[in-house]
Amino acid sequence: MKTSLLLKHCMRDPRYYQIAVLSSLLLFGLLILDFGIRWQNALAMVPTALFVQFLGTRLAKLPRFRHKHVFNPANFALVLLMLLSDRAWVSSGQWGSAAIGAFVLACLGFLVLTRARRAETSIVFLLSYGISLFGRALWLDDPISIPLHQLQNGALLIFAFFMISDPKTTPDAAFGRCVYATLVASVAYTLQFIYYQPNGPILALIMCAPLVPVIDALLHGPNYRWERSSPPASSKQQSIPFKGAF
Amino acid sequence: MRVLVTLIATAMTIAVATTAQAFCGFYVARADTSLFNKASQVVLVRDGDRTVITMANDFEGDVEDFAIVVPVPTLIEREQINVGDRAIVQHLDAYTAPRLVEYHDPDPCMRYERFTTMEDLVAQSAPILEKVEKKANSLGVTIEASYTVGEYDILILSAQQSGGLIKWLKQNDYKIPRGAERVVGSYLKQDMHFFVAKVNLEEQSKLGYQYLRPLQIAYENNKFMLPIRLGTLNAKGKQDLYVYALTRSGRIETTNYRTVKLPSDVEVPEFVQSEFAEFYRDMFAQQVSTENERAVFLEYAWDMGWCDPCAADPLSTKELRDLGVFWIGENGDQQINREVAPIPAQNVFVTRLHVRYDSEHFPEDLVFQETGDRQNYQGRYVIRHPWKGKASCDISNYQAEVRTRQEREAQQLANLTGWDIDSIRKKIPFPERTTPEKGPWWKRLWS
Repeated sequence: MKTSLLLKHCMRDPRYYQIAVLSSLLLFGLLILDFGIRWQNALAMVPTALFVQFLGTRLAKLPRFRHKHVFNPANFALVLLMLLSDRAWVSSGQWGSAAIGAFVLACLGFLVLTRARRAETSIVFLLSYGISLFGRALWLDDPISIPLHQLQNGALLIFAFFMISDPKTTPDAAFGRCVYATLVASVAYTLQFIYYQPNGPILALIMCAPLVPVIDALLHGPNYRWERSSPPASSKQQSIPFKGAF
Repeated sequence: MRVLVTLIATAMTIAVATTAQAFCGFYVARADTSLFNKASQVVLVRDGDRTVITMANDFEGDVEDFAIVVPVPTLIEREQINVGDRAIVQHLDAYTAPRLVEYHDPDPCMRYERFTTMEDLVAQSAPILEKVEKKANSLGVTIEASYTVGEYDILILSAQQSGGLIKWLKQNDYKIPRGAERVVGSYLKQDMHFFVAKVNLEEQSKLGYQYLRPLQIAYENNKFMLPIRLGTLNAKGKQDLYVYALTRSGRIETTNYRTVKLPSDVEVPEFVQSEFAEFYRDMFAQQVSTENERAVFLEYAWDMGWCDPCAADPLSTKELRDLGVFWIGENGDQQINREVAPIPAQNVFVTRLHVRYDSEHFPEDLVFQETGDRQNYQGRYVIRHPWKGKASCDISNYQAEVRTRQEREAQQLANLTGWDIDSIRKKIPFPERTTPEKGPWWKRLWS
């Protein structure tokens, strides 16, 4: 009974699914993968994350263009945290490759729930990034296992399906989103493999975000609204601040 | 932003000893000596874009057969190369080594505690002729520099094609493993140069060293990684690499592989004291297997200013500076005489990583990042000796506790190492039961 209620909620608004998946990943990381976080820290993380997310969301939403905020709140909060504190970093390798099957399933689940609406951002990003990695391997005459290993990264999949996919901060037109995803993938590749910076995708997203209004100005499309099918229209529940996690 | 060139890599050599520490690259010998890589020890000092790498080796054999080839990111000048002190790397190894700690149970009949501890470390413990240059040019290989540093003759090579470089190395009696051309080609396309070193016998006999000292290279580059691909080429099976990182802010971790803490603070049976090496080896193998052979293991992460318990003293300011920690003791004014003063906070954080790798499970070079994590961690295993003195009171309760504890230790040991639990139990001197075992009544029914 409870399960079906949860499913109903998820079907109504994919953000519930998103929260469920990301919370499960966090627990999986803490309990199974041993992220090396103490329980005290884990408990302290909740209010800290909420505060940073709140701050990030508010600050990220400050720059607005055509009723859309420019920066992805989760991305903005992450970069803000890394800039403000020398005690914050992104551990992109900690997911390992063993759990990659579960990751793929979770990401596909997201596609199903959103009925693949606006899924081109995630798919084009992964395709462009993957092509760059395989192209690099081809040029260097590296074995195919190298780009495959680089793609089997949990953090990359979380980024592709739960961060860059945010429909409120991506271009309105489908073609615009494809252009944007390709751009983010190219900048991410450049940062990661030419400038040798860790966290290429996260930095690429914040660097490319100001280009969304430009793309929107050139390519018009419908403004996205989170779909809420069954509950009454009177429901004033607003967007949930938690949008992505690494 | 500056265009960044590629990184460094390390070298290669072989080692035959049981606690082999060799370079992590591939081995090239000048003669047909049958040698293979076993393990490598690399010290990485990193702050910002500045890196100092120290490659230690315990090469055993005819030094005439020793040669290393190291991919490096930029042209390396004479002043960027140094020959270090092997004892400092050994000291760092001892300081960061996983340790066994021993406690003795107090006399259960005494009302006060007698408590002693002991730390037991089980330490794993030519000049280039002109004609050579001409020949090199004809193969598309450029000898960009040649130096004699300490007992080493060093060449910095660049090449247009990997084929030319491989051919040149072969012509100069370097033994190149099969498959090297492809990997060398990949590094060349990433604008890397090659650092080639061999032993200058004349210089070595003048210096009088009986062993090869570690080579050190300092460079500035924001790629923080360690190429391991070359090292898999001539290796027979998996090989081990130890990376000691000395940083300013916190521990390092790999960004493209999982970095996992080894189980620590585990109580193990007493007999492990005499089998600690086997215990650690098997426990490590078990953990490698649990992580699907794809993880890098953290063995030690600690502020260099202290230790608890100390497997060895922290490194002195001079030793750290010799390893390349350039941000301390700039003017020698922080030199501390340890005999009269304790080690002060050094603003140096040490990380010891241990990776067992092969090309199948580690296809890509190791890429690192410095984190802000300064939580101390050490591989620490505990032995608790039961009281063995003459009892002056009824100690049956104490003995029952000891039996329970020993059984728990046996199970923990079996889980950690994969050893057979019955064989473990046979090695444990369980105290004799003087009273019926407590527990469910049916346990005592027919026994």
